[in-house]
Amino acid sequence: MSPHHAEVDALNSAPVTFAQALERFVRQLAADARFYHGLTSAGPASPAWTALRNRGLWLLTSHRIAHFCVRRRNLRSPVWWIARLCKSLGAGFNVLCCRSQLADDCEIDGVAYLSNHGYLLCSALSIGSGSLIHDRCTFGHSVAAGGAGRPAIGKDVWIGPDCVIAGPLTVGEGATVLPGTVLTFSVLPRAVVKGNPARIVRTDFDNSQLRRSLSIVLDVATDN
Amino acid sequence: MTTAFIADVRRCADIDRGHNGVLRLFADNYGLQALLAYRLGRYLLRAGRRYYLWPLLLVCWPIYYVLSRCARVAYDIRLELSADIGPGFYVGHFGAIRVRGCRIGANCSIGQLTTISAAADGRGPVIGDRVWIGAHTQIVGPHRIGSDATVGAGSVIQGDIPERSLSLGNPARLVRHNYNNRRILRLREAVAYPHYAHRDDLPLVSVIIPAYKAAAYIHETLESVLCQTYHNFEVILINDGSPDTEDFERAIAPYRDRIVYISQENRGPSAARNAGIRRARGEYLAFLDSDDVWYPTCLAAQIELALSRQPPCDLVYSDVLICPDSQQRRDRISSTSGSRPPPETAVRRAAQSHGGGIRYSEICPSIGPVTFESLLREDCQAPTSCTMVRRQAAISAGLFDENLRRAEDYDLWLRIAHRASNMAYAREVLGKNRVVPGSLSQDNMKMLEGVVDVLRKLSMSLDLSASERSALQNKLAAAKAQVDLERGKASLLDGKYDQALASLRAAGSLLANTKLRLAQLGLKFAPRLTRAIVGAWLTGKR
Repeated sequence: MSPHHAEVDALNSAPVTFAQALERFVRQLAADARFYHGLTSAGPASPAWTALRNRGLWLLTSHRIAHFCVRRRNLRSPVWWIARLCKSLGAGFNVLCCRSQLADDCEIDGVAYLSNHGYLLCSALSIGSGSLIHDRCTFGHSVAAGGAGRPAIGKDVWIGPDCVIAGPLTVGEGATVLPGTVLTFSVLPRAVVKGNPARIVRTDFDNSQLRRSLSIVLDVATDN
Repeated sequence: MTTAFIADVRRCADIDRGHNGVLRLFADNYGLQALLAYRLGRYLLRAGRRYYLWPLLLVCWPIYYVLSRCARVAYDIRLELSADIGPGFYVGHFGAIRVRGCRIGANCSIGQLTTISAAADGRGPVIGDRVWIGAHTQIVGPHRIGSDATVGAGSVIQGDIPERSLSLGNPARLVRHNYNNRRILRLREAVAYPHYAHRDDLPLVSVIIPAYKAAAYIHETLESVLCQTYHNFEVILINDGSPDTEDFERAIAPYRDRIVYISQENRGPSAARNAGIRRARGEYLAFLDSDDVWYPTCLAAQIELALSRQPPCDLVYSDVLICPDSQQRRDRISSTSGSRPPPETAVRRAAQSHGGGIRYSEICPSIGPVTFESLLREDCQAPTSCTMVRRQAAISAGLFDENLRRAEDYDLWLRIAHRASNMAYAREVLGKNRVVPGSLSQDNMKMLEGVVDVLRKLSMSLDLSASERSALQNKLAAAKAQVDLERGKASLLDGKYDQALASLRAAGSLLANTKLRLAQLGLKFAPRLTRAIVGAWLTGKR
């Protein structure tokens, strides 16, 4: 689960030619695919096969294009125009195929796992690398507070299915959000939250075991 | 179908401000596309009843089918035709939205991943108007959600939810009463409150409640106000230097954030009401005594009546139910409303009827239009607790007279009426008035004296026309005679025969009455016997 910082840095340096941009894009895609393959490891043993069938990865890829568009606006660059075209098509693709929406300006450094099952509505400020996000999740602003702030999700966070994370808050590094949580406050690193309304059930919990595979081992998180 | 769908589009445009045209709005709001299919389907469902529309059905049903199937496959929004969705519906985002077998009122919002559905036995939820339902919410089964309620994200509803409340959690629990969801619904004011377009968020009605020794009753009174179907009001509660202030403040503690509370030294109900009027911001003032209650539609009906006239009414009142008080409180601050207290027999009749009461209009029926003279002749009678006046009219009439302790409301209604205003009444019973049977004979006397004081004062202070003056003089004489009669009866029963004879003579000069003549005659020749007879007769009447 290495956060592929080298690739990230390489991508963020200004792309010069179309070939370079494409190369970086493909390299990033390969890194993503390896990460997804490590988690799912189903079907024929090849990252390429995972990339073809995992809708979370489609979403992540289309998000990378959109993010590139938003951050590197350059009217003279043909790369930007191509990316923009892809972005417009990708938005519809996300909704129709992945059943998800991801805000274009959401920072995803490194690889985050987004669920294959979709139903992710995410307008988080950032998602840290190595995070695992299951299906049926909503990250957004809090409606009652007038739509002011957006959540920032740290590195190595495990978020279960059917979670709502709303408001100007930070989910700390290595935190665990159990399924069905409605979270409206900031969570310290390595804490475990669950319930609606959310409450902290454990502090200083190591979720690396949870993040190793997609099979949800609830007992590990809750036995206390 | 079209009106409902136009309302949906309007609502959507209100929420997505800064959209680029209706087509773009339609393309960006997946919920709106699903709603188009739903509205079409509902229309066709109704059209199926008329055989001449069957050709239309043949063409349009496939269109509906394709549209709804698209919305379902593409966005996973299922608005099934078994749901009855009111106009101005808004679906936020998309994905796993299931609405079936339920009734939803106008101008509601729901979020993504929401299920509103009937239980296995087919009984579905009923949702009121202007309800905001957050994302990830599950409402399954025959639950009722009141109008203007708010359901937080991720809630699982198990049970009914009252109006204007905020509920959260799994299972959902009530977090706050009287939660205002106008902002998060992003409703335009005119949509939210069709009665009245707001100016600077001022309430339209100020409810004024003077309280004196009312700790035992105030809970019920405030509840009856706060559960009104009409919402745009403020409550001003004036503690008139009550000796039970501690109990009273404990009783109103749960309501303190929703009312304006004024505490002052004891200066009587008029002064208390005036303090309330000075503090009021509403266009209309509605008066309520601290031991009376309103029925939930009271304000809505009165406001509708008042604003239905052109120009809007200065004074409206409605019928109330007069109920005997089971708790037998003797020291009431204000006796019954109006100038004429209900006769004791009527109150006793009310006490005997099971649990119910008698209508105020049975004692003092209102006939014809409300004018100064009809109020004087008691053709029309306004009860205190179900009367609403325009604030400006009350202020120009000079507020309540703080020197009066009785019939002060009658005095103000007459002064408002004298300024040639537009007044009306509703025949519906919109409130409940508590009276204490035992204390009435005492009250009756004082009330009549109060009326005489009011009339005497008005005959001197008001600038009256000839007919008004003669009506006032007649009424004054009649009231004086009534007072004399009551006084005569009282002194007769006390054994003060000379005083009784004088009073009865004074009364007799106006009330030509055989019974009265006989009583006078009896008093002259056999006072003790008369006393026994009258006493027996009065107790028999009782």
